[in-house]
Amino acid sequence: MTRTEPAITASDVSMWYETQRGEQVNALDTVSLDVRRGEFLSLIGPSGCGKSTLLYIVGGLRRQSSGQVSLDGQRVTGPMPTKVGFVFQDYTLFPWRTIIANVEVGLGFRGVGRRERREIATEKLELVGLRGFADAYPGELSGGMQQRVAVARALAMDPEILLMDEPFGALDEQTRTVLGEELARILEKTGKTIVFVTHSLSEAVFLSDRVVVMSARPGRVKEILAVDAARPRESGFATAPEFTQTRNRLFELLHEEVRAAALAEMQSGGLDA
Amino acid sequence: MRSRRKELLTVAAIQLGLAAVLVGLWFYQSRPGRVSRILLPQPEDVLAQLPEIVREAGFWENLRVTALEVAGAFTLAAIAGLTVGLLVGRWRPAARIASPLLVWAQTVPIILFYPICILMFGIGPMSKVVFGGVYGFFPVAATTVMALTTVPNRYLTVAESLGANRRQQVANVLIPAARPLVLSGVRIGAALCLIGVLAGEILGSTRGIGYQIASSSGGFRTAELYAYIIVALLLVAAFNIAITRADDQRAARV
Ligand SMILES: Nc1ncnc2c1ncn2[C@@H]1O[C@H](COP(=O)(O)OP(=O)(O)OP(=O)(O)O)[C@@H](O)[C@H]1O
Ligand SMILES: [Mg+2]
Repeated sequence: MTRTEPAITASDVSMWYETQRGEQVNALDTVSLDVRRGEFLSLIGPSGCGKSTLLYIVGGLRRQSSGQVSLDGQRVTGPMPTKVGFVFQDYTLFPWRTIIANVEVGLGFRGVGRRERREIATEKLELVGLRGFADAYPGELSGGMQQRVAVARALAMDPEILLMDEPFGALDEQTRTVLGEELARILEKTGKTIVFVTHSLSEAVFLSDRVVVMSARPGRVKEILAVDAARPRESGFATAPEFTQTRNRLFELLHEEVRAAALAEMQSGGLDA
Repeated sequence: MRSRRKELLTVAAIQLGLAAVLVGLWFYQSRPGRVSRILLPQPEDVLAQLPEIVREAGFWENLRVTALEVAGAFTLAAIAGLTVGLLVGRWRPAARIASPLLVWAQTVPIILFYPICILMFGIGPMSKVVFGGVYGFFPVAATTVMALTTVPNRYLTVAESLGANRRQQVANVLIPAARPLVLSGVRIGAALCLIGVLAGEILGSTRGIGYQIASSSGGFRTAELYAYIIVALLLVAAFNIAITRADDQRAARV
């Protein structure tokens, strides 16, 4: 394996789901994509265009209908807990475990001893600024805090690749901005390859090296925009001309697709909505 | 914290007040000239009966028989209920077929089958164990199935992404996620085991607290009857405390 080889390669990945009623849904259509090592790549696209599906496939949690995905040139056939970490769209901390025990859980699966587990988990909790909540239960934390714990849980496994599915999607714009900046600060230091799904254009521009715009379902790669601004990016970047330009361009691209998606839904949906 | 404590105290005070009102009513209604003593003995007579029956030759033996029957019934209900619940709950098609049946079975008056139970297992303790066990089985099985089938899929997906194998998924996700609901089923099952055993003893037996209740009632020894009812209630309380205690301890260990 060479240094220049992409961390993630998806070639012609398509996905068909069968619904409860036995109909076929085409979620992804021949998606091809390379993600460079250490790159922060965002995915945006209309709701239901297959962003989550693509992440699941890349992480080996779901099997694509056709095409293939490789990590470091190795075909993905199932979950690779030490290579790929997930932060999911919904709240997924185990409510019956304390925060620290949640962060430790993957290490436990791997058979890491108690002392070491605790040490690593404490360090990751510290990293996301929640060390003081080690013994709390998830129900006692706000949504944003829970998602930061989920980030710590993924980092505890020290994966090379982090797949994040709208981790702050359920939060208000201000909180999301602050958490996003903080996340960028944390992740920049780790040098991990990151694929990040978001609905927030500002978030995408602020955090990413490249932004992938996906088309309405069936999801395809519509366009890829590069954001060349230097790192680390300060919050002042959010008012820079380059930021605004890229954001506006993304808005146009996305707007077309959201319109298309809404129209398609009105034409075909209606009845089964 | 403080207001929580205060609230708990208020609740306890109201509960005690209600109990006091009931006992007061009992005192009042059992005075001469009110409800007949054959129907409602005076509380002080019942209290006086308690040491009497405890001193009686067969008392501890009867208590022991009932306690053993309940323990047997509960063991049967818990093991059978959890096993069936686990098997059915882990396999979706079976769950879809069996869970409505299990829920429906709880509305069937199982007591109708008690005579059959006596025919099959005799008038002795075995018929009570089986009958109480069957009584307790259904809620345990039904809630176990429900608990397992309602574990959110996302928890299993997370575990998978973190590298959990099948066994680890069961031990670290399915069981803890299903646990609260399963335990509430077990608690209901335990209560029904007790009911089943006592009902069985009252309807037909030769020993046990239920037998004593039936026999003192048949002989119009009302004060004694009430005293035995109190003994039965104490047994229920002890059993409930034991179950809750075991539950809390397990919770503390997880
Ligand atoms: N398990 C499934 N069974 C059937 N259809 C599914 C399944 N999962 C997803 N789909 C369908 O596939 C399409 C893509 O879903 P996906 O969750 O990947 O979209 P998304 O881009 O993540 O949407 P959102 O932005 O709302 O999270 C949707 O139309 C969805 O209804
Ligand atoms: Mg999604």
